[in-house]
Amino acid sequence: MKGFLASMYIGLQIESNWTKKWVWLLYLAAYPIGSFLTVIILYGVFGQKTGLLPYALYGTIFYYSLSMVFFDMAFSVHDDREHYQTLKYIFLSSTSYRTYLCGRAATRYLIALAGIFINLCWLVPVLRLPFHPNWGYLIAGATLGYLVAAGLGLAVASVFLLTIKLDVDVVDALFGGIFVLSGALFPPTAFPAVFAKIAEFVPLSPFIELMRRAISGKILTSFLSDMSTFQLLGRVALSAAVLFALGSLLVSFGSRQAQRKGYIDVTTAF
Amino acid sequence: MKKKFLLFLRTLNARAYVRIFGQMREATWVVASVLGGFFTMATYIYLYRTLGTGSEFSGLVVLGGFMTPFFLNVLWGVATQLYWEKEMGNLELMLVSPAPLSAFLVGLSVGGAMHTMLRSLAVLFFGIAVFKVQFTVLHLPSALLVFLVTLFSMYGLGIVFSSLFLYHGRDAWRTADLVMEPTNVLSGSYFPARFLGLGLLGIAALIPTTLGLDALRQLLVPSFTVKVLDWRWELLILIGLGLVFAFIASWALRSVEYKARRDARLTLRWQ
Repeated sequence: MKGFLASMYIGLQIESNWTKKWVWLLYLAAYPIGSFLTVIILYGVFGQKTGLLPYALYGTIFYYSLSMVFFDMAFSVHDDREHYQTLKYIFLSSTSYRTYLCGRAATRYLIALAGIFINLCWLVPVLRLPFHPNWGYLIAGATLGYLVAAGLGLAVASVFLLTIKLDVDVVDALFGGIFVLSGALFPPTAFPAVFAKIAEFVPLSPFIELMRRAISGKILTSFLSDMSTFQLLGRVALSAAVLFALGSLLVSFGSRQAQRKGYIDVTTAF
Repeated sequence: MKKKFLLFLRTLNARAYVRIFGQMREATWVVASVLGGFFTMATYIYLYRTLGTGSEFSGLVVLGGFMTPFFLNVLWGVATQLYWEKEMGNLELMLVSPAPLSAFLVGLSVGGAMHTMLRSLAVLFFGIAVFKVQFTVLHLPSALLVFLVTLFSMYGLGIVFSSLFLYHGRDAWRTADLVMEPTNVLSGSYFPARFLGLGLLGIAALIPTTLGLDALRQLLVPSFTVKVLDWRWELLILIGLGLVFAFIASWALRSVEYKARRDARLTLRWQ
């Protein structure tokens, strides 16, 4: 726990100590805007009659919160090894590498959630979004969502540990694919039938739908509408357990192999 | 004078070579960036299908998907490059060499544009093949001219920003991260820029991609009617923007390099 908290503190320093505190607070509030600006413009101009704006907006911001976790985990391997050249010291410390990654990403997740909260304060009244939060589901969903994203992030981090030339574009491509299929931006019913079916089994889909229902108090489309909110929570819990266990195993394996192969302190200047 | 010019060309060639061939060494880099571009494009095409807009929007999105890698290359491959060179410890070596920094940046832009071209063409190919998008080739020479002028203007803007990044550190990097998505959205990569409204459009027009994409859509998408200006006017504005950016870049690079030397920030890492 001490190592986890220390890693969270390092995460906070990396995220915030590049500027003054008040500038960082503005940055924190402004950063999520890029994630939903397209949604507001496109649904505002073309999709007013569809009534899908709340679906897309909530979906996008909750996807954004998870994306911060897995991008941070994948990128921190590269950043610590190549940029700050501190990966070898992290491995020498008494904290496990998995704990370090989870701590850093937890800070990023909390920062993302804070940014979302700040933006919802104006988005809900201005866009008249349905807002009837079920706090129990929201907190449980947010916690389990972190574990889902951390599991995926740890798996990708293990790949990064074992390669020295892999670019973060791979993470962009991987999670770009998940974003399309997860139904965050539009109901997957727009896809051909096969992809629409696959979308139901993408690990992030139930999380995003759970959070939509938990915050809006409504079922907004027919996507996953045959499942109750409690069933969705169960599915997110199952995904979290499986993915986090798998990610933990992979990152432990990746750490051992990377140490054996001498990849911990390799710099390539790529 | 001739010696200086030759040195400029040799530096340009050397930096462009590394950018073009260095980026081809890893197949995963090419595949990942093409896939990333393709997924983004697919997202917006399916979004438009959900919204029930006309099929011409698929063409707009595919063209946006073609131009987006250039925008990302300008931001992360040119504007931030001097920052990364500083972080890796190469900048001091570059500055003590007789090679001019401006040649290094122009080489980076030429090389970056050429290696991005391959990825953008792949995204365009998959967009056309998978989503059955049709373009007209009647105005292809004009479209090529607009495209090249847009690149000139975009990379000029990239060089302007690179001097800012030379002086600033992580704060500039964070700013680039912050503005990347809104800038990409404002430039109308995935919808006609005219829908931005006059106020936002005035700001967005300073990003060369905005008018460049609008002109390309007029020339290549037959049913595109929601143009900002006639493409000829847009071409003229882009030429003007390119020249202004080139002038500012040359001035900014000199003055920021001087300021960075004076304040001892050229070798300051991890700040």
